[in-house]
Amino acid sequence: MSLWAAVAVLGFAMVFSVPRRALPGIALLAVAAHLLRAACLEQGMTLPAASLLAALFVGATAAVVAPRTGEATPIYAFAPVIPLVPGTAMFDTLIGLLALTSGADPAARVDQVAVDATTATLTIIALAVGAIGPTLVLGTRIARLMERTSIDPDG
Amino acid sequence: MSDLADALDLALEVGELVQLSGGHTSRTVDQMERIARALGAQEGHAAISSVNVAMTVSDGATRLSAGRHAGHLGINFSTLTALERLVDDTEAHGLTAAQVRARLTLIRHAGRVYPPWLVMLALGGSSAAFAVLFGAGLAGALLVLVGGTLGATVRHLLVARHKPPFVAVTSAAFVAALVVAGGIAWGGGSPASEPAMAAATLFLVPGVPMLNGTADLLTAHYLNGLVRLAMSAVIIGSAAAGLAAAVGVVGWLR
Repeated sequence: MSLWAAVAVLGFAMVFSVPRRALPGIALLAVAAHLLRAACLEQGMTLPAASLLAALFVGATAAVVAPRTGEATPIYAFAPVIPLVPGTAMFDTLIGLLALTSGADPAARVDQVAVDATTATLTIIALAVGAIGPTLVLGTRIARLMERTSIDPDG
Repeated sequence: MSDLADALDLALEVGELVQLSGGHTSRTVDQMERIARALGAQEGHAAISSVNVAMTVSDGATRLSAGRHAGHLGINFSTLTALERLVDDTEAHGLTAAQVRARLTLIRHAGRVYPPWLVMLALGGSSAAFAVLFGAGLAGALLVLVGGTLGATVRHLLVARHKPPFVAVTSAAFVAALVVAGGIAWGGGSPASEPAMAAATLFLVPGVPMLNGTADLLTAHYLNGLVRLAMSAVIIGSAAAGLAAAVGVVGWLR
């Protein structure tokens, strides 16, 4: 199932005008992130927490791979997290909000709408922080470390 | 033009292009200041707003300031990569102002990486893949493929006609969702409970503004971050409006 994340990421990578040579790496990263999140969910983690871990994995990989391949870091950090967007929770929130104004018993739906909206919002925040955080915190240090490693003939 | 004026002008051009290509504010500031120093400025301080880039450079004796309008916040990661390499090369190999200017002209006028028809089709494919990930069947995924491709095409055409995001995104979401909801209803299903509907408008997810907005907030560029997140909120709200309208129309017709 997670292989579909590779298809999901390609359209966005093209909208972002990602260089063609980077597409296979991005697709691979998207699948790995989706598998990681699925594994975390199976272990009982919540969707936002599992998404944060998967996005941190994407962000950390981007911080290492991008300087090594000479690409801009957002190429590897941004597109692969898009398949992790909580579309179902977002859709359920919207339908729930519509039902609040048109349904017979709106009070009974409020709790579910609140749960869906909170899950969607926290998951999106987790994805953004996870994808960006490693580059902002570690990006320069990793690049310098790799420069030193590549210069050192014994390294 | 003096060397310092060249450094200022080229740094502003780099900043404008980074802004237009989807770089967050820290990246824009970093690349402007690095290239200004590599071209001879002793000091360079960039100031970025959502639609302008400005800079002050100094060589010890003279201080120059200038600004430039940066149009809109676009996305082109190939340009972002080319600019990063240009800044790296200028620092590492001491490129002259003329060489930097020539490369910037090439970067600015580089052709599309992918033809628009392929991008529209790929976005439809992305939406269909989302549908499968959410548990939709083959029929649902095919509906989303068609709806997503049509919706992406509508957005592309409206953006090309300089329609505001609210109009372009709402229209695109409406068309995509109408195809999917109509297909589901025609097949006897309920659009409100079908996983394919959740994927119908996900090709409109404002991934880059959301991530750049977060990056700006995390690097204390609060104003620019809020602008980008407000932009994302408008896009998400517009997509929700288009989706809700399509579900309403299909429900009314049934």
